[in-house]
Amino acid sequence: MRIKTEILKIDQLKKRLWILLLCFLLSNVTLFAQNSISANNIYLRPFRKAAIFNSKNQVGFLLKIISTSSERQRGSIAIEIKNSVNGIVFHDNISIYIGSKGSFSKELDYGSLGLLAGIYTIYLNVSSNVGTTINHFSFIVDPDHAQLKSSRPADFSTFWEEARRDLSLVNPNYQVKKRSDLSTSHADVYSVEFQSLENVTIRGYLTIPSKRGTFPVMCMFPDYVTELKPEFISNMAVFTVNVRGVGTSRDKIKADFTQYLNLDANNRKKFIYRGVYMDCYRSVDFIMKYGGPLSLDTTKILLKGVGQGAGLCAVTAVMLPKVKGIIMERPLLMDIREMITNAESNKPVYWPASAMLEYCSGKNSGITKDMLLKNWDYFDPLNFAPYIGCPVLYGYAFRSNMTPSICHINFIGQLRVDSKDVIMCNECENDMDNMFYGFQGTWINEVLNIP
Amino acid sequence: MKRIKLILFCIVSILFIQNVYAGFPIGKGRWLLVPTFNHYVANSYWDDNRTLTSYNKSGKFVSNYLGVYGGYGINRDWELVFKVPFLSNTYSQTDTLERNSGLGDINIGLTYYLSHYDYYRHLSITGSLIIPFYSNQPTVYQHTLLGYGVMGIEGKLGYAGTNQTFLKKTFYDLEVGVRQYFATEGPTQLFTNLTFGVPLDENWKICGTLRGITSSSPYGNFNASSSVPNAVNRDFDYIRAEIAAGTKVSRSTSIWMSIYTDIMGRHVGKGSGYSFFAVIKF
Repeated sequence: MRIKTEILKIDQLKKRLWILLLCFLLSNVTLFAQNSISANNIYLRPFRKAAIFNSKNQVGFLLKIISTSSERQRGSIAIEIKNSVNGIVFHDNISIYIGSKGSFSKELDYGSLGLLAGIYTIYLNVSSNVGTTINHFSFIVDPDHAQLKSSRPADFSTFWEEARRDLSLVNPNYQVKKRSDLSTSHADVYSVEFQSLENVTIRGYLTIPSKRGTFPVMCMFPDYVTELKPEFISNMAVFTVNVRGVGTSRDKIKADFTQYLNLDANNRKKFIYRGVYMDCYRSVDFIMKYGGPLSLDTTKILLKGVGQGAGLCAVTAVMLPKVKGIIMERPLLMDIREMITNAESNKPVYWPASAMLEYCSGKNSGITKDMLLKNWDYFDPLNFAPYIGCPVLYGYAFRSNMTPSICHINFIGQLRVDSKDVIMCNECENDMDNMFYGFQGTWINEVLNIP
Repeated sequence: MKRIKLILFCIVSILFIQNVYAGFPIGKGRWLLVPTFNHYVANSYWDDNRTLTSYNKSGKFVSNYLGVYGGYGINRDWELVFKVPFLSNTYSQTDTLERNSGLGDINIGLTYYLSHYDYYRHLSITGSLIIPFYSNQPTVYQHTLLGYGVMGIEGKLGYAGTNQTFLKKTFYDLEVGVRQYFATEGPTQLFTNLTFGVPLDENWKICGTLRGITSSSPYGNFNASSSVPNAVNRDFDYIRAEIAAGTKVSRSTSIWMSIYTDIMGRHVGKGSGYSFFAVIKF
């Protein structure tokens, strides 16, 4: 009987996985569709690293259009530069001719425009006999003097103090068990379990090198609804945390890919991310308080996250300022207001903006877009940016549709910490290139003072 | 003239002490120290026709080197580099024994990284000053001089990296450079060091290196009004092969051992030797 029950459970699990996969595909259908019909790919390489121009004279780009069509193209590129309030500061039209599967390159030097400090977006519309391709990229001029929009609520700090107070009422009941089945000859793996806000059970894996010594710790937070497994890094302990509703921490919250980011979004005190942020807070707090006996160097803790995990790092670093540094890799759910604005003015609408707008328009949510944005203001990693006090390594994809570059530029602009390294991948949409991963190693050694 | 041919292996041994990891960045605010012991023995030489001949009267040249190579990362792109050698040279034959020891040519310079590419590969340029911390006494030491005894400069282009796809995790460190001594007769030297390494596991690494140098002077090896002793070999070339193995002993230190031999040359001693060195980063 027990075997039958297990088989049934596996079947159910398989079904759920299929449903999750289907939901994921449906939610991304616009994204895939756009890629398949586009006749050209637009690439823009800024004259300055990460599209951060410290002086107005430096502003410029190398534009490259690569045709995927076997037809010869004749047409034009309409270029518009808009400021942060959508005012057009420059426009131009360039004729183009592209051979079969050929390319077109042009230097766009805007040093003479005398752009004032601020954030700008350059819109490119390539139209030819084959079709139309559009894309837009944001950049910042003179970031030290740029006035950046802030939507941080007045009771922002109080809100999070209250959350932490609520968390303190939940006994963590930490449980650490060695997992011989997952350990290797080089590292011991432990499963870590604790209770978090609303008494939700959170699970993670702690990997500690089996040699003698104390080890710096990297805490890793998950991407959107993506389970984390044990991670192994030479000479470093790694704590991978599956926040509520993700991977091994799905006892109470079983939201699927489409539901997760909107779960109780109509009530900021119940919104899933309130709990998620507290899960991250408690996991790092655990390392800080109890890492010593586990051969962990509790003075050398790094946080790393990809996608949604990147934002979790930013938030946790503000709540636990003793963290040595954070690695934010192509953040997701960053600067929600700008992401929604961007989605409304540029078609097609990409996930996650599409999922949020759909949620607001739904009959059961009982929330308008403005109310949703007001709630998100409490959770948007952007609003934590000025309070981050540790070194930041920030990597983003310039061509990302899920998180438009303006969201990244806003976050980077709001960082007040001196030690910030920004790596931008010009050609990337949903990943990063070797430059980021190569530099990451150097950065970790620097920040943790590892020889 | 025969004597000239026999001498100045010592200079060769000074110049070619392992600068391990020279092409990889040290890191901002961090130090690299490579204390080294090197033992070199030669008892034959290649003549002008590249014919290998034994030294007369069972002649043997031995050079022991104790030195430190190091650097400091000023920032991610600039490094201060230096090398301080202490040498003890001995030349013996059935009727002669000559010994000389002391500080050799101290190098101090700056490295600038022209590009880090994807941070797995690094292109650097190094300029350094060669300062002799000794004065040559050619009347006393004819076989065991510690160097050219004049100031010089060195420029070097380095390309080092770790492979990420093909031959994954193997590493390389390639250098080409030129060295010019400030004397009428130079010499001018072109050199190259080509290293390829393979990690065996998390701690152990092995690597092989080919080193080549060609030294030339407008006056060849003799100039009547020379400021550099004529006993010093200025016109030669050779190639040396070296294999090394190293292991990490702590997070900051690894220890290495290497053996090497000269495989071809012209107008220079043919020797071989071994070295022990530690790579310390802090």
